[in-house]
Amino acid sequence: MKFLYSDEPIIACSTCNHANAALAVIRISGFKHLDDFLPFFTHTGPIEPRRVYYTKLFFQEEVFDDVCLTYFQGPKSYNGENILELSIHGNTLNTERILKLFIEKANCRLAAPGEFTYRALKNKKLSLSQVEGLDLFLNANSGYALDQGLSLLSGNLQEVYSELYDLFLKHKSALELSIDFGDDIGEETAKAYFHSSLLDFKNKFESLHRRVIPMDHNLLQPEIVLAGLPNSGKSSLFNYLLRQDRAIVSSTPGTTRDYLSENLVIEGVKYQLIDTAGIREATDLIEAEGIKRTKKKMHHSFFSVLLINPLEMRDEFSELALLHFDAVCFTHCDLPGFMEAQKKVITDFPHFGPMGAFDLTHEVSRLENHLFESINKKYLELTKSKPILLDRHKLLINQVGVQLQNYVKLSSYEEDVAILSHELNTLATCLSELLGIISPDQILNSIFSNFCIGK
Amino acid sequence: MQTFDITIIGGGHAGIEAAHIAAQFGVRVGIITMPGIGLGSAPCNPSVGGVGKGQVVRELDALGGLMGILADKAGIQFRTLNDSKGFAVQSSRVQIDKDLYSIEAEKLIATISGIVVVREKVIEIKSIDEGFEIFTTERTYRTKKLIMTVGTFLNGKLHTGSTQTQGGRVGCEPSLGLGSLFCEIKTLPMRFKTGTPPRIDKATIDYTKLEEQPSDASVRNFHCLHEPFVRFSEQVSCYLARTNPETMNIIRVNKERSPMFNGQIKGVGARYCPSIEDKAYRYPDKNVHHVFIEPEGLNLNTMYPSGISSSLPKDIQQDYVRSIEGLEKAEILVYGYAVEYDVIDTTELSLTLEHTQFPNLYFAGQVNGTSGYEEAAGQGYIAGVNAALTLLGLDPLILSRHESYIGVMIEDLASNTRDEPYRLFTARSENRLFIREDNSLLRMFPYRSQLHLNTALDAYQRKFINAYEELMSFCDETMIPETSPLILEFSGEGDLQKLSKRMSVTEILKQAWLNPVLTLERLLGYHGVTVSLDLIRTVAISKKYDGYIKRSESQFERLKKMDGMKIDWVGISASKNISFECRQRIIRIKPDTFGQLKLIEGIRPATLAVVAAKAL
Repeated sequence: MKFLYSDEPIIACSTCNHANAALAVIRISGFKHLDDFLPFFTHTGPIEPRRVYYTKLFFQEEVFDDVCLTYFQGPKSYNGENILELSIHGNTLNTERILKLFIEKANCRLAAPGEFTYRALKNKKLSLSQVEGLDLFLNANSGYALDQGLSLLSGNLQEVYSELYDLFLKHKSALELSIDFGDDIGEETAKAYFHSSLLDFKNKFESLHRRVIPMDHNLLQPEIVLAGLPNSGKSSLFNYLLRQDRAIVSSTPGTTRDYLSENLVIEGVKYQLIDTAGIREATDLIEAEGIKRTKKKMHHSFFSVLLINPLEMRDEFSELALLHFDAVCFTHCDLPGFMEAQKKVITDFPHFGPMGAFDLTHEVSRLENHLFESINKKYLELTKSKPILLDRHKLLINQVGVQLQNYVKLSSYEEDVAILSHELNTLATCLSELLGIISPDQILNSIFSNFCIGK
Repeated sequence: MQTFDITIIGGGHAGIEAAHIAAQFGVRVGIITMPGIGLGSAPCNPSVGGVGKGQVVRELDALGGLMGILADKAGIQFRTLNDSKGFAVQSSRVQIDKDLYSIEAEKLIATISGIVVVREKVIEIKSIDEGFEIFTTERTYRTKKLIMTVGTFLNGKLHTGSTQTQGGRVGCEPSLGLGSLFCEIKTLPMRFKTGTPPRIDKATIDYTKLEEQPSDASVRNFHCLHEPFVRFSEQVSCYLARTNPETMNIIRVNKERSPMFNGQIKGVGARYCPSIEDKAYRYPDKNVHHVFIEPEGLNLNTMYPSGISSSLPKDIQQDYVRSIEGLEKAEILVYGYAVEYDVIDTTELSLTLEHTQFPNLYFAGQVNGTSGYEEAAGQGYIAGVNAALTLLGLDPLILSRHESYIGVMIEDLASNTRDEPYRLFTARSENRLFIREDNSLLRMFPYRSQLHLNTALDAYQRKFINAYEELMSFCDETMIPETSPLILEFSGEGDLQKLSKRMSVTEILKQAWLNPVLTLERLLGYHGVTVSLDLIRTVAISKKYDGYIKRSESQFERLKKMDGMKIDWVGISASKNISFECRQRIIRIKPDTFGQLKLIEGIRPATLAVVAAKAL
């Protein structure tokens, strides 16, 4: 990150979507003197912080726009710096012209993605977890993600981590107590402290660990995957659910070679609906790759639907049968011999999960309702346990979990407390990463580059 | 007028170490000490060593210090603390005969021709062009370098009940003037306090009611040239007594008469060394505390009850002592007292313990706010050796905190202001698995050889290091075949502890269920190799911890990177997430970097976590 050490004034349009809108907000941050900007406005007289002034923006007698100006004086601002916020008219040409004006005439630099927030972090206005929370909040796909983003922003989740850290410290100090003060407090007491504090920490940690659901289920971008043998009707269902003809539907098997994905909102939660290549013995390389990706997608999906034409059972099907699906539906029920074929599949593969026969031409709305209900039920089920959404946190909690398990095991037979204490330090390093003590640079990089510009 | 190259004010544990090592370099050394106190006297606990401190004594010994020699000669009970807890944290402690210790110190110092001991009271010290002029009640001395090891005598004041006397120790003349002599030297704004318990007549204790702790014959003597297990004195026992609800009640109802709690004493005591009043008032629910009854000497008729130091009036001391089982008829010969004294600001000292504002002036020992004879001796050595080295135009000797407890202590002292007396704990070291007693010679050898003194000690160390290298290679290279009966012998219980393949001796020593020392001893015996037990211990334990030490070194590197990180102490001290106590400390020290913040005494790790999360 080049901007790590720069402190010159930066400018960006905080609302820009490269489309015309009624309003746009431009932010300038990190300037030393407000006076440097006053000549650009017709407003005369003092500008008080956090008050809105309606004024004209001009340069060399040319009026650019009518704007509303708000001044936030550091350190009482979003990122701790002096900030000037301008509400302007949201024509993209207008926005670009005004940005250009300040860049050329007021020595501002166009902000890099996430740079405003980076400065907030640098000025200790936000902690790392809070920044992550903000990211989550801004990019939330559901009400639950919004809530967790807010909870990180306000430090609630961090508080849980701090409590955990405190319990950890109690245990660590119990260990140190037994080493440096064993004689003073007695062996029995030291041992008792050691075990009770380890138990407290373990219990607290486990309650947090339960909130980490398997990494495969990404609740930030939950995916609904449609899978099945070629020509089983995946693309038809995909198009129907999205009410558009994005997937090419034809009766030639193997048409969808890679996968297609679109947003689909169910009960206020944004999902990715994915149409995959049919699983079969590939006849060419591209198709083989498509099938490989399908299997991978399946594995990481939040919800997977298998479509089966029971009349076209082939050898590849037995391979499919080993996978687990959230829903299975039988298609092509208008064809003769469907009922017998379906019965055979159900008998041959009894562990397939919920099944139903749907005529994609006549019963598709019933199928849609059924699917949406199941998807929503699963989502609610998973969010009930207040799962941790951020991958970095999930990863770390899992790491702490593994190390804690090793440590607990070690403590059951290792009598050398110096070694125990040494192992505990490794755990401490991991825990501190959860609280943001030691943060590898790449975390920051990824956060800031995933940020929408301006905030 | 008599002149010295180096003069040491104070003949305590810091003073004699400083004089002893400095004199080895052929410079003229003077010790000016109070008349009436023997060199190396022990006014507090009659013991040397302990957790972390035993390591210091062995480090000193390997560096050519005095303390190990004296402790062995005066040792009347030896123990290994943390015996059951792993080699890295095992420490030796020896009860000393106080009189004998001082007599041996006098004898040893007297044999060194370069040291002159002056028993006069200092009344004034003046800075002159080439050093200092020291005025005593008798005459004037001149010196190039001055080492202050004045202990608790800097404006010392004693308290027993409402009785207050000037002085640094009971029965000694006060040295009032010292404070005013150095009015330009920055002392800490608060005074420190320490205390001692009442001393009990040996003959009036009922030992049958106490738990006996005999001397342990398997503890190695401190000095490396002494026969490892041959004692110089008759060995005696210590005893364990316990306080009870009545004891604590006596103290609690007399709270108003305790100078510490009625406001008469304002000094700050150490949290790790509470007086019996502290224990009674701060922990109202706890009534049973350990009291170690330690002999002060073979010919002395006093016992030192460790754990019940007090500044209460004499009648209350008598009452609470007699409430303890076994001490019902105890007679007190010397009453307990608390002493308050001034402490200098050690952040003004360099890592050689020379004052940064006043060149050629060094400070060592309790005057620097530390507690303990071992801490004092360690500093005395560093001040003494560096005074001599700079006098001769040689490079200073600075011990790394990564390699020694002495290094940990000196760096801690120089890098932050004390707000309570400082004691070494093993927890202060980041490298505890490496800085052990068994390898002290190994760790100190590079430093010692830097001094080019070439004494019998150096010859011994060179031989030891060579033998160490040889035995280390032997362990790596010697393979035990799977058919050897030893493989079966070293297998533990269950399948997980079954050895079944060809292994090197080194690999065998690392098995968690094996005691590496006994294992190596057996393996060497089997191969018909005879080496000293010292060598076996050093090699076996080094092998055992090898992997862990390497791992912690990589962690250390990572931490070091973080320590340089700038922090905003103003912002931190306003944070609500940080305890009040920590905020106060941060405001006082104003740390610029994370590393500095970490070194501040008493900063809670939780605070570090909060700061680190924000400073990112």
